[in-house]
Formats: sequence, C-alpha cells, structure tokens
Amino acid sequence: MPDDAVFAAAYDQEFEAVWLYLRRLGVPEADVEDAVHDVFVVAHRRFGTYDPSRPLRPWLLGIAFRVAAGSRRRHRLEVMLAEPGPEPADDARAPDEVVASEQAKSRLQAALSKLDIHQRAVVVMHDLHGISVPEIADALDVPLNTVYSRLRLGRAKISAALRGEE
Amino acid sequence: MSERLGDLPPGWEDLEREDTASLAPPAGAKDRVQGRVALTLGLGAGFVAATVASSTTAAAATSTAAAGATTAAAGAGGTGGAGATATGIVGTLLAKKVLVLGVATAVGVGGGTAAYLEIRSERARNQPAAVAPPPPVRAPAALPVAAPSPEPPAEEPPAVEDTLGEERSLLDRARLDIVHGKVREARALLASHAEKFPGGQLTEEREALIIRLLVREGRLTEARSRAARFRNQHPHSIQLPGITDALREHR
Repeated sequence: MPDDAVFAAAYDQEFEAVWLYLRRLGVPEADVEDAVHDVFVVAHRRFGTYDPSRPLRPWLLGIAFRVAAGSRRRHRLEVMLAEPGPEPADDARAPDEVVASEQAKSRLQAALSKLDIHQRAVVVMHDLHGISVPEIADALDVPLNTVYSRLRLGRAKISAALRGEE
Repeated sequence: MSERLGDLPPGWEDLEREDTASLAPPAGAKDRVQGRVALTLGLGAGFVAATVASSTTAAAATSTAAAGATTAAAGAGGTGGAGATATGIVGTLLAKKVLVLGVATAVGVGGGTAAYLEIRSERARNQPAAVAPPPPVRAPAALPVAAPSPEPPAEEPPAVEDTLGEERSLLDRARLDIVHGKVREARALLASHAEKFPGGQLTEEREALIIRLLVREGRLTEARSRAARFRNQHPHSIQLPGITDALREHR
C-alpha cells in the first residue's frame, strides 16, 4: 500500500491526465467519474506492482486503458441484453444526428472514433499525453514494434479522417 | 523516427487544444472523485465527510457509505466490524472488496490521515502566494490612499483552478513537445511557465521536464547535475522515477 501522502500527491498530479485519457478512449461523460474512481482504486490496490524507478503516468494510463476496455465490454453486454426491448419513444434524434453532435464536440474525437481501441490507446498516449514509445510498451505490456505499428496505422487513419476520407 | 511512426496530421496542436478544452473535467469533479476514492479505500474519514457533503450528485449514493466509514473509524476494533461496514457501501463491486482491506488499515492510520490532510492544507496555505503576487506599486507616494481606483475590487483574486489549469496546460504541451523532439518549442513553453509562475504549484513538474529536455538535447552533464539538485531538494517527489528513467534511457 502506498503512503497516504504519496497517493494523495499522485492523485492530485494525475487526476486530469487520467480523466482526459479515459474520455479520449471514448468513455462517455456520464461514466467518466466512475472510471477515474476505479482507476485510482485499482492503482492503490496494485501499488505493490508499480516499479517506483519507472514514471507514474504511463503506469496509471495503462490501468486506465484496462478500466476503459472493461467498461466497454460491460456496456456492450448491456446493449446486447437490452436489444429486444422497444426503442425509447422520447429519443427523437436519428442516429446521424447523434453522430453529428458527437462530432461537433471535437474534430479529433470524431477522427479518433475511426480507430480500434488498441490503436486509440497508443495514439492518445503518445501524441496527446506525451508518453514515449518504450513507456507505452511497458504500460500496456505489448512489444515495442507493436506500439510502433499501432501508432503508425492509427496516425494514418486519423489523417485520413481529418481529410474527410473514410 | 517519423518514417517509423508516420507523420502527425497538420494542425495537430490546434486539434489537441480544442479537444482538451472540450473534454476538461467540470468544476468540482476532482474533489468529488477524490472523496469517493478516499471513501472506497478508507483514507481520511474526516476529509471524506467534508468533501462528500459539498457534492450534489454523489451525496445520495454515498451518505450511507460515509456513515459506515465514520462508524468504522470510530469504533471498529476488529476486522469483523469492518466487514459488516463494507456491506453498507453503495458502490462498485471492486469498491466493496477494497473497503474491507481499506477500513482494516484505516483504524490504525491516524498518522496517515493527518498526512493526507496536511498535504492539502499546506497547498491551501501556499496558494495565495502562488496565484496572487503582490501588485506592482505604481502610485506615487504623495497621493492619498483614498483615490478611487478604476480597478475591480480586490475581493476576487484569480481562481486557483484557473491558474492551475494554465500551469498544467503549459507543462502538458511542453511534455508533448519533448516527446516529439520539438525541443525549441518545449523550451519556450517551460520558460514561459517559469516566467508566469515562478512560485507556481507545479514547479517540481516543471523542473522534471527541464531535466528531460536537457537529456533530449544531449546536454547530459547539465541534466545530471540538475537531477542531483532536484533529488536533494525533493527527496520524496513523485517526479523522481521519471527523471531517473529519462537519464537511464540515454546513458
């Protein structure tokens, strides 16, 4: 278990990065507080596995990735279970409108949504949070070359999306 | 490196800024989540009560839990009591599991709690100095003090969250530039932070980034000597692993 003061300082310094990372992985605004909570609870519980000679942020974002991936799985399950039910009558917006309003939030969010979760995890960490490739490989526990290839493919897809291609 | 990675789309920094602005946590979210985390883990019951009480959205869900935590802190003598308390928590499955562990330790961690609170109150004490430097004295000494001032009254100092956000944004952009090898831009951002926030809240983080930048520029001797000084001044800083790591990667 980490010392309380150390953990409080870590929370203070990393809260915003964790929040932004989760949002950029596609965690909806309504769920992000729960997800941030889970990240720090898991971090506290697993603090014994954190190597203090490594930087903290990549490690925390690695946990955030797993929390986000887990919540996506749960969400998909809920959607599947809910499918046979009737459409809620009060949601008059067509799917296209929903997508459009999502896109209006940020051009980058729209482009990121074209990436699969693994590419997204890498591109966001590297290009929006300034984490180096070796740190990402360590945090996500994947080979270095895999990180490079996800980054390259992810960047290409984002560029294409921003140019208006699919 | 860019052959291996592909290039960033043009205008990336604008996209990034726009994205960050659209996703920033709303006011109060940080404290709200901190209250819930502390509660789940059994850290600092008094602090939790204060934080949770001011929350509107989490209040209903956590009031039971707050009561439980208080009971545990006040009276739990053994782990049996802690287990019973955990069943009162409305939260995630994970939260329940951890609380059993957390409460068991919370019973004996008066010191830890004090430290947890201390770090916050110390920051509160430092904030006025950090965000409100004394205004430059421009009025000639002969003028009477009662001269009406066109300035807005001094009751509204800049919100701490605002300056903290600006500090963080400067340093986050610098970090990004360092990773992308844009050393000149990173240097300008770090200099700008040092100029605007000489006694800011994130000076430790700034110094850590300066060291990383020096490493990136190949100025290793300078980086090592600054790192040694940093280690002396902040022996418990959570920035230390990052610094050690940066130096190690470029040995």
